[in-house]
Amino acid sequence: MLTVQLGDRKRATLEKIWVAAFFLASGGLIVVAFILFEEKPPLRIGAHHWPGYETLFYARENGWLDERRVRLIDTPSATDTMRAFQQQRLDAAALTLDEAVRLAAVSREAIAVILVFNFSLGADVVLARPAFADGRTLKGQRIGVETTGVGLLMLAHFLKAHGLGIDEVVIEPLTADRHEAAWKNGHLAALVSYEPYGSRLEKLGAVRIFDSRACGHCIVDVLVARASALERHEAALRIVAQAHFRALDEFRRNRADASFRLSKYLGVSANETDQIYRLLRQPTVEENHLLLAGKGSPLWQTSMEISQALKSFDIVSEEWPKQNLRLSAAFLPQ
Amino acid sequence: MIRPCPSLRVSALLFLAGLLVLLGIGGMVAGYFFHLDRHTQALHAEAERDGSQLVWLAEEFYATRPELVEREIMRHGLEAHHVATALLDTGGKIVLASRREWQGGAAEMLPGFEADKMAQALSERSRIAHEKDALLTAYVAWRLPATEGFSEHWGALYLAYDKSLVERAIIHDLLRREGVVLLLALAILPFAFWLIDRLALRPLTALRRQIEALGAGAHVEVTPRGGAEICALAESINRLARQLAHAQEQLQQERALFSGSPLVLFAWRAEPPWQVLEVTANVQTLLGIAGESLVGQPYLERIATEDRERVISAVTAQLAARAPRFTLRYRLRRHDDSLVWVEDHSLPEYDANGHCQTLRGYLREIEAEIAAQQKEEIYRQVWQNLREAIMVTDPRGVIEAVNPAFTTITGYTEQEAIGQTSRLLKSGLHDGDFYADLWRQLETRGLWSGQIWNRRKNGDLFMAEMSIAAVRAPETQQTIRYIALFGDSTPLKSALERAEWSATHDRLTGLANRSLFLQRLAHLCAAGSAHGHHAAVLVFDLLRFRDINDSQGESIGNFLLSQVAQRLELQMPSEATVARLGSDEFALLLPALSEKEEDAGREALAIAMQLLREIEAPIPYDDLEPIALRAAVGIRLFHPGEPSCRMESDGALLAEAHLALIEAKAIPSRVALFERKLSEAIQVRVKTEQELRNGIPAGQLRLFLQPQRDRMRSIRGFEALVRWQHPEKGLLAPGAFLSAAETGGLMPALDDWMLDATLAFIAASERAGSKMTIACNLSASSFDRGGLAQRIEDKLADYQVDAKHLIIEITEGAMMQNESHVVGELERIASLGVRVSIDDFGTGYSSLSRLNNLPIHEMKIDRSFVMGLPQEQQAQKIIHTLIELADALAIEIVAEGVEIEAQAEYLDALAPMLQQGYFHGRPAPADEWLARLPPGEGMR
Repeated sequence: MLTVQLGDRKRATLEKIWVAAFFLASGGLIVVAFILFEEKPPLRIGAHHWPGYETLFYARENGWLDERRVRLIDTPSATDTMRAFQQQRLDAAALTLDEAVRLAAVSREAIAVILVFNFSLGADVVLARPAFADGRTLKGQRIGVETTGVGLLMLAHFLKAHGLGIDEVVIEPLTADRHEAAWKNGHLAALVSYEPYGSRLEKLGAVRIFDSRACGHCIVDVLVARASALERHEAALRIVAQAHFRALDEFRRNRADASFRLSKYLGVSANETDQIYRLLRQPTVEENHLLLAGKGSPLWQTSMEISQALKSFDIVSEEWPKQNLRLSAAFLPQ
Repeated sequence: MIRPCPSLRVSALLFLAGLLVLLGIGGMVAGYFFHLDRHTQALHAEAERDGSQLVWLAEEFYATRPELVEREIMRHGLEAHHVATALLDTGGKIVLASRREWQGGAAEMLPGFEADKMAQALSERSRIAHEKDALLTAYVAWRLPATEGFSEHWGALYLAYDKSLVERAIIHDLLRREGVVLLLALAILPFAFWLIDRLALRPLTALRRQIEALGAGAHVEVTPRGGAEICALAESINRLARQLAHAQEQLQQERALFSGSPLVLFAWRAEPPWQVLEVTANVQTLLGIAGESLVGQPYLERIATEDRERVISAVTAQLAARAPRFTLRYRLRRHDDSLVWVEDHSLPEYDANGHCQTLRGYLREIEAEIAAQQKEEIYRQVWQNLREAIMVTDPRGVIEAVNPAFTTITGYTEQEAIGQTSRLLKSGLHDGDFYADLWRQLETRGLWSGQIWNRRKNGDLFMAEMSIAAVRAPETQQTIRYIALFGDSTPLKSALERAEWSATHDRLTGLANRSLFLQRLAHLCAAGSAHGHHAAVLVFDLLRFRDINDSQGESIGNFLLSQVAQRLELQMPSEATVARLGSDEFALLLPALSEKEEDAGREALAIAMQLLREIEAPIPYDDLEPIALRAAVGIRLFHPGEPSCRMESDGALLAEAHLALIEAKAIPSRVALFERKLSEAIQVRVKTEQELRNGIPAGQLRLFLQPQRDRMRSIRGFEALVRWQHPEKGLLAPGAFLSAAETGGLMPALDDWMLDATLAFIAASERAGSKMTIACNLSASSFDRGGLAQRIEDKLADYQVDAKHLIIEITEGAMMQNESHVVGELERIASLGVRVSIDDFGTGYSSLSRLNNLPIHEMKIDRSFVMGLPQEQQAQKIIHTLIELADALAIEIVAEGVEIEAQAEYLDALAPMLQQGYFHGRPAPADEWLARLPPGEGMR
């Protein structure tokens, strides 16, 4: 009798161990499966072919962007990029700061600026037919502009500089790819454009009457990412930032070669490419750290100015939630 | 080894879990393929749609607005699964591509591009879809805008989509959905398990414990717990338990009922000693022993010792015969060792092979029955053996039963008498008044007794002393039987004769006693010599009968006497008178021998010899060894007319026969006829015997020793001899008094003296430092007395003598007389360490085969063989043979009667032996030898 009881107890204990081991093993297996098959789709970055962004394409061509983790998508224009970003088809996008502000103003999700590509030192231009070399003569004239932030920002600065109100000109929205065709068409008096279109239009006889140098650092190209992507694609974002600075380094060290290579994307000669890059100031890592150092940084000031400017076009409302825009230096190389 | 049952807990868990995993994996695999197929189809559809759209756009606008086409192609790059989109011209050059870096390059740089597929699409002017690795590619032909002439140029739109992303997404999606379900199920599993445990396993375990408790005898109600089925099971078990309890109670009641019953039920193992397996408690009443203490005990030990063998053989026989049941009666030992009669009804249980393993049965006490039976037996014996006739009649006088004595007295057998009336015996000598009186008395007193004349079957009349009793029914007082008891009063006078008979006869043997014998003898003498025949008185004495009586007991002695008497009576002529005179003394009177004295003597001798043979034939007694008696006969032949016969009143003839008997005891034939001169010699012997009887205690005997020497002529030992220092006749050699000692029964006393004297001498010589051995002669009568070995042992201790210095000599003849007894004593003596020597070897006709088994250490060659040496060839041969014999038996030799040197030398030359005789030294008083004894000499 005693031995039977002992046997029972022993057996019960054994069974408990069995059961516990089974549950642990099954739970463990499932967790392992989760980890193994956790979906990490690649980070999708959209960028159109702007000289400041060419570092990214250069990096992709050199295989510095792991295709499984980062997918750089060529977009036809900044508008397309923005639209795709808004449609959640992109996790990150190469945009101008004003575009970023616009996005932040309407987005339900916070937008983070994580990298500064370049400041425009004349790459954004206002071109006019030689008849209207003096900006003030453009009153009542038709001006083509890509109704992106940069375009409108340039226009706002231009009009402000020449004492013109927004209502005093006829604004024709025109995406950059149609600038040349529109210019040839001849119905436009002036055109707000940017490189490389600016250089091409100048060949067609357009006169540069205003450029980004006039508004200081108002035209800034940045890399933005939606807040949800920051955590999910932290590593990928670091890779992108690192690739950018690496490409930048290459450009600086071997400018001629870089210019030649870039020219085919930009559709201009190597010489002209070089010219274009003179109009851009590409900040270093250190500068980036300074620029992105939170709300007191120069970039934050600029974005607030941009916000003001955009408000004047009623592009953004008065009280958009400022916390929707963030600056983050967290993804920059140290 | 029984395969252990799998644990329900573990197997249920494994089963559930296994099922879950299988379902999960199966669902996932099926889902994966389902979704993959759907996605692939969707991708195909997307490729087809994109292809047709882009081709349309290219064909419409490439010529006019290439930037629109480029923009569309690039925008296409934003699609989730997009890998590459390119517009190719006829030569495979990339015109437009989703990546600007490809533009202007060769088609081969596009991921997944295959030229032959494009060629196929171009030649068919259609669309080709192709899956390669993780890519889905499509080639759609498009017509390039016409540049010159009418010839058509075709290019291709290349589309590439990434399938792997889809696959990963599906797996992830499935995992997310199914994995959650699986985790959920896993989370539910312990609950399900807990439920099973709670509803089934625990209640089952509890149930099992409770059933085990039930099995152990506890009356436990099982608490219904768990699922309905298990509750039902518990209730069934409860019902079963209640039924069991009820049945047990009933059984208990039946047992209680049984314990009051006179029948005791038993079960035994069928093999003796019949171990008790079960027994009912009422065995206490029967045996006074508690049933529990009987279980496991051998039943045989309770059966009375006298009955055991009978019971064993009866049971064995019954079982061997495969009896289905049998009944035995025997006695059982109760707790106080009193016996009780029981009747045992056994029912053996046989297995298929007919072997019985178990006996069941019941016992019934039959003490009263046995008593009744015994009583009945007594009545039957009385009925059978009563010398008076019994006649039972019904009220009408019709005879219903008669006893054997009735037949003896009346001559009518039972068959003849039964059915007749009592008038059968009527003599006709009594008148009506007699019978009327008889009936009246019977009626009034129920009894009549008186003398009545009856008639036998043969017509003889006889006077019967008759009693008639009326048996009345206790209830009605009506007479139902008459019992008549009567004897033939004719033989009544024999009682007187019996008294006379016992006065003249020996009660034990039924033979005539001394007085009748003398009376007959006197009668014969008185009759005188009328017919001239000689007559003889023979007196028998059973030799050493007193010893037998002493050693074996009186009952055996009486039995032997009656046997002897029977034999005598059977073998003697009818006219002879056989009488028992004393304890072991018989006499025979032969009244009619031949007329001539010589013939009569021969006849008397022949009869005497015949009688001896009869008496001495061994008498079997129970399981003892048959006892052989020895007897001697003394005969007094006489003529009835002779004067001594006339004076027979004082028994002179008988006394003379006694003298002859004394003579007969001294001679080998043990039969002697009385003669006048013999009478004188016997009287001398009787006188000698008388003197010796007094002389032994008076210290008149002397111990003489005759030396025994070895080859070196040194003394190795002595033979002890006796001399009688007679107060008047001087020193007497044994020859002068031994026969008187023998006939007078003095031999044991003489032997005792010899033994004492010898041992005293050995003790003295040992003290003197000598190691001589002394041979002491003992007679057959010493052995007959029994206990000789014990006496020797006692004496050895008394004298503190080393046993190896003593030799017991016994004659070969004495040894053969009562061989088994003597040999037994000798063996006991030898075991004391005392050596045994055979005297007068070669004269007693010992069987050689027996010699080998006798405990003897030495043989003495008789002087008669030594005497003829060294000349006689016969003697030589005998001596040689004896020496060889001794050699073969590994015993030593002492040659007696060596008288001259030639004999000594002859013997010396033959073999090493001791020699004794006048040549070596005459017997001399022991004291002298003791004085001359050289210290340290001797020892064989």
